Amino acid sequence: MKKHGHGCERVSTEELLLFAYGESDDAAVAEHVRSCPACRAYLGMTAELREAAQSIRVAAPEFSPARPEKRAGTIAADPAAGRWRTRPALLVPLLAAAAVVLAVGLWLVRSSPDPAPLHLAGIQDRLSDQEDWEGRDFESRLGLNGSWSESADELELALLDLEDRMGIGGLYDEDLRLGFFDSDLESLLEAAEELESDF
Amino acid sequence: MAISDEELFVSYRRGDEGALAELLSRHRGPLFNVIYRMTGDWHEAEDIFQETFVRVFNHRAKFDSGLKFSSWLYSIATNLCRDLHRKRARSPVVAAAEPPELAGGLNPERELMESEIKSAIGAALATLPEEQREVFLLREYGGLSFKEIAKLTRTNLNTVLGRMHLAMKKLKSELTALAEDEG
Repeated sequence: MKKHGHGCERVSTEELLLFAYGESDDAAVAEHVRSCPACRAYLGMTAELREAAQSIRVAAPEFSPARPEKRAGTIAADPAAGRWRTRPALLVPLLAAAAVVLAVGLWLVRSSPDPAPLHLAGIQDRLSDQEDWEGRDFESRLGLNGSWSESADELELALLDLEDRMGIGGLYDEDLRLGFFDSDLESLLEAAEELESDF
Repeated sequence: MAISDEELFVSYRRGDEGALAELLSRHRGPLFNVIYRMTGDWHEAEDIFQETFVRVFNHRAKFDSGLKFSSWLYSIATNLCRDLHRKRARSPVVAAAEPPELAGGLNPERELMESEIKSAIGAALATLPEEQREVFLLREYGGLSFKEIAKLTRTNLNTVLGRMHLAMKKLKSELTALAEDEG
């Protein structure tokens, strides 16, 4: 239904708008507008508003480095480029999954036990190293010549003996103070306790 | 005779990168103004402006050469603007702050007055309901005909003209009120 909101009963507002924007080829409308004050007032208002709208036009920004031309060129070379922007639905779960994997990985690393010689061969290796350095045969004293028959009690006693000797002899006081042997003996004792519990 | 947008786009699809650059230079200003006044935010307008051309590229094979390129371009842009409005969830479009002038003028008082007038016009535009603002901007800045706007917005011509009339009445009323306040 035609409207006549501008106050003229002969030409509708729709027809007048088409005329104002040059989209009407109706000669009768053009003829009528020349002599109708209501239509002329409406056309005046239209022109005024159009001018106001044009006065606030802004210049499109130059995009650098992501200018549209450049970007279009980039995606022309590689159609996969820029596609992620249009697929956030895929990106979000992917990032969430990566975060979960990372968190689990960190948790596993933190919760894993310190590497300790939990088997006799490992302890034996360590003691052999100390023996070489000290020039003494501790293996025979500890009874760790490859035999698996030693009990954990024997092993612990031997280790305590070793600790006493190192402290009393004074030979390694400097080293103990510096913490060289300290950590080794502690870890050996811990290992012995674990072995005991295993047995 | 100038090459039409549609011919340029066909050339672009055949591999002529220069044709895309020409299309961009033709539509850069009008398209950005429509988007800027639709969003009311300069940075969001920049994003949507770029995204529009990314979509043009991604969907270039789907373009029906029987249609007008500008109608297709603006339909992509207006859909992106509508998506943004939905994301904003009921928040009205804020009046777009007028960008600062790049060069200083010789008459600061006059510049200030002009800047205030521009801000007022921008604010008046922002008060329009989305459907009316869309029609006004597409016609005024985009240069689309009312028939093209009707097709783009999937409404009939009389609805589009009715929205334009209401938009103009409201704009006129807002600007008159502003002039009276200042007078």
